[in-house]
Amino acid sequence: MILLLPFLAILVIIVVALFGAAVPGLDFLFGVVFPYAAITVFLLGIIYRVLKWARSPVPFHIPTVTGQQKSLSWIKSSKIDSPHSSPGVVGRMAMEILLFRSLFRNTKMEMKSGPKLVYGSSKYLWLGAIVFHYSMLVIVLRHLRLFMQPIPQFVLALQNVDGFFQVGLPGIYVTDGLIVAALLFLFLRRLYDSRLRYISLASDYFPLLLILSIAVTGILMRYFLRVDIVSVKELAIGLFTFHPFIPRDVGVLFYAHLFLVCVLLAYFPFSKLMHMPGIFLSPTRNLANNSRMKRHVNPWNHPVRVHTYEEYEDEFRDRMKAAGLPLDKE
Amino acid sequence: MLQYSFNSYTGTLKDGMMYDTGKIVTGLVVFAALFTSPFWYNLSNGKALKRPDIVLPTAPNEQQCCADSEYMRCDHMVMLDEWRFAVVRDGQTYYTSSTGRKFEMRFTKTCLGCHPNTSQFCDQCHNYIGVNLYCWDCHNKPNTGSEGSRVAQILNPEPENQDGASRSPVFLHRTIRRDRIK
Repeated sequence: MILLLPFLAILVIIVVALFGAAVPGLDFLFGVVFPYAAITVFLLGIIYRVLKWARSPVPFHIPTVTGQQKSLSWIKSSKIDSPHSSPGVVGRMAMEILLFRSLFRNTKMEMKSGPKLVYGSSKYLWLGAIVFHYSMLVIVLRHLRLFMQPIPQFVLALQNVDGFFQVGLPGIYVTDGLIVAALLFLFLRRLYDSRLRYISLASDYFPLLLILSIAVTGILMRYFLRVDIVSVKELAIGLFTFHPFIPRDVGVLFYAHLFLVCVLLAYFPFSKLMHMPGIFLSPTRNLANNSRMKRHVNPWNHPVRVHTYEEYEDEFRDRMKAAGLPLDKE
Repeated sequence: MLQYSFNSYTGTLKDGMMYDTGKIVTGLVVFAALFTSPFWYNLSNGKALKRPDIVLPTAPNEQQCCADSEYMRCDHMVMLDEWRFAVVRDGQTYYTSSTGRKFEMRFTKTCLGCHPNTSQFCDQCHNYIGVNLYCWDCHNKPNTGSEGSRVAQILNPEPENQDGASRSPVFLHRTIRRDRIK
């Protein structure tokens, strides 16, 4: 069921999009209304959730570090893995965001015959994740050729690099193959490992399948069942200039692709995909490990009523004096 | 003194206090600016946003294309690729269209015969959607000044053999190499 639900959801989305493309009159809904709605939900949803996160206090100083803390001058500290200053934190965050350093440090526990418990480095998750994310980035940036007029130079340059091998016509983009391979790996990885399958939810499979179906419809449109790309750009430019325009016969497949993207955008703020802004707000990564240098006070510490010794002495002075006890004040 | 009331369910403070406001707002502004960049980029340019106008062949030159326009609009590059393969690998010269007409599989002669001005035909859409052609990296581009067209004439001489064995330079090159091997 956990696996069936995402599959069914994807199927329904595609069927709805194909229906929308087939019924005359609905193309305005699928080509203009849904994209604008999805963009709005994506943008406002992310802003809303980040502002909500920003309201949650981080009372405890909780960086999780993997290096020697800065202490005495003659003990070598780890400036990136256990940063004590802002530049160190920036470096650590950059390595986390750009290189997925936490995943690179991933280890796996395995029971070998013996029985023997073995811990080993496991880089496959890191590899799949970084291949997917960078392919996704390149593909999104490549799409700017359809969103922007005139096309920025860097987009054309990126296309040239991505299409470096010049295989076939239209030329194959390396990232198209890489993203499908990476997504399939990330998907099968959850199915293959029984422990991972046990902790996987429908909300883990759904984004993978959704992005995979976006990639597949895109690949189909470029290499196999080509659509009129000039009309596609016309529609996109219409959206991005607030002059919505539905060109004639763009192709059914295009509407499936577009609707899947709309679903992804609208789903984004409510899903695990919020790790995109979330990584910037991870207290275990973005705090400096400086608790030996700076005092961190819980912002909501309750004002505790204390009874100081002075007050105590004032209260019992007479009886203390009678008992012959020493007093601070006579 | 401290008057916060903590909502343990949502993990937020009820008075809505925000932490690190400067950093959060900066980050959100950068994100929103990047995400909406196609909007303000296009609006600030505000020209040449319409579908490009391609110049179609007119009266005296007009004849049936080797495939219908619906196919050519989306799939012309596939046909060119197939032609290239047929000529270079299989040594074929002619393509028979669905209407039964024969076309010589030569871009510069057949295609440019009807669409001689590449800048008003090919480049219109290619530039609009950012297609980087690498045809002219190796081949001489026709209609690009006197020198270019002269070289093109040498490479693609107009008169052809009676048996239709007009050959592309690449094909000739291959023939020569075969002879050498013999």
